[in-house]
Amino acid sequence: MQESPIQEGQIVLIMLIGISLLLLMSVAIIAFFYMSRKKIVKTELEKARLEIDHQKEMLQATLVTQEAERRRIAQDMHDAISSKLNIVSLNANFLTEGTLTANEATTLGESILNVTTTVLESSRRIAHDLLPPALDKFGLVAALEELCDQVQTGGRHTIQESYRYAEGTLSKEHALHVFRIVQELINNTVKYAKADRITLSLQSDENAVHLQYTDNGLGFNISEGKKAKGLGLSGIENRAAILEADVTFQSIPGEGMSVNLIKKQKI
Amino acid sequence: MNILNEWLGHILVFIALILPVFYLKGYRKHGKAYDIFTWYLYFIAGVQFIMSLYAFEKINNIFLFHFYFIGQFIFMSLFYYQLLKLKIIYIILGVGLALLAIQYTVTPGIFYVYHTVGVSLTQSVVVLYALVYYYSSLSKVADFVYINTGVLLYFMTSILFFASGNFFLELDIPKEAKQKIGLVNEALYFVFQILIFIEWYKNYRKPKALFN
Repeated sequence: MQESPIQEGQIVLIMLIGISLLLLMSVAIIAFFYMSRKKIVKTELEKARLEIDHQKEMLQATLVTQEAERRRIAQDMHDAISSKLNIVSLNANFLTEGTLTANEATTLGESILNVTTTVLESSRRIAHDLLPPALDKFGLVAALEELCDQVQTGGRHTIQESYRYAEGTLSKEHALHVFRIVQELINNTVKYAKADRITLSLQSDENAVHLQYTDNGLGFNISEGKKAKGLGLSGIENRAAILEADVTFQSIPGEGMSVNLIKKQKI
Repeated sequence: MNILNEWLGHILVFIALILPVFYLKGYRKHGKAYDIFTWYLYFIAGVQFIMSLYAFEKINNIFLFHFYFIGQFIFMSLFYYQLLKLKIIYIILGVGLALLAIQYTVTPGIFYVYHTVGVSLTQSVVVLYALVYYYSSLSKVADFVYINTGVLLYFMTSILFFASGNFFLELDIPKEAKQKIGLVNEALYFVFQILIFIEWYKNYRKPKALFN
């Protein structure tokens, strides 16, 4: 087969062009992948940074809550226990001096008895507030019932409760978180919402535990509420995160609020 | 041109022989994919060595090319199976080898010419694996990125070179022109080898630290 020199030259040229085009194509693909990779890694880094920031915020909120709680306990102990024990100590001191008449000694004794009874009651209340014994002994529903009873004793709030919860569905640790969430919600309602009606429902089935809480109070703006440290919404969210539960807040200023918490059971 | 071609050819054989020595240092220390790639390098070194011996003795070495591309297909498939863990790679390898076996039995004459379809298809398949591996390593830290780049670059560009092999050999054109194209191919192969070396130098030269 004889080819003219022009054709041969052209064939070589075509081949060189073909190889160059393939080379160009593969370089383009490689460049494309490297650039996309760079971009994706950058976005991932950004995402990770946001996550870390969020965790930092959560940690900070937890610390703030912890400090507030400590301050409250310290205040409670100071007001209800230390100051009263001071009185007891002072009165007991008088008794030891031995210069008192029998009448005065009886009055002092009675006073000491009264104060110690109050102190006992106070210390029991403080301990109770820290960790309700009912939760440990009788379970989550009993503890919630007790909590609601305490609130209703005040006479300003009525709570409509509904429980269809099988004890043991949540672990003790998780039950405590749920209890704390309800405690925080009631606390908010009582402190800020000026509500008079609360509904609380706790349901469980084999798939999930569902907690629903509503009040008819002042409500709040969700985004502002989340920022306000006092409301403890971030604390609720933190606990929900520990529970691996989904929590949603719904509220319109002036129209009360509702909270839904769903913890899916792991099968 | 002639001297350059010859020298580059010698350098390529030399690098092909030296690369497996480097890779042997980390053998059985960096996982299965690394080991399979080391086997591949030994295989290539063997083929290159025998090819250059034949070329030196001026014997036609084209039948060795069949071993070269089939072996390459097998090792590359095994290598990418380790990276991608896709069963389909084994299936494609099995079907490909079966088809080739049938073809060689039916037409043994093909052994003495370039198997253009075979080499084009097997190289395209490996290019495809390289692309899939690139895609799967987009969002994570991936091993063998340099090798993958080299595979994509060389296997893709050399498809045309090998595919036109028979036509090219029969073509009555000056040796100079043939060498020109051969030189381009050799240059690209040189880049591939350099990338294989960089992979080893950057990632596997030192034993992997247990604690970073």
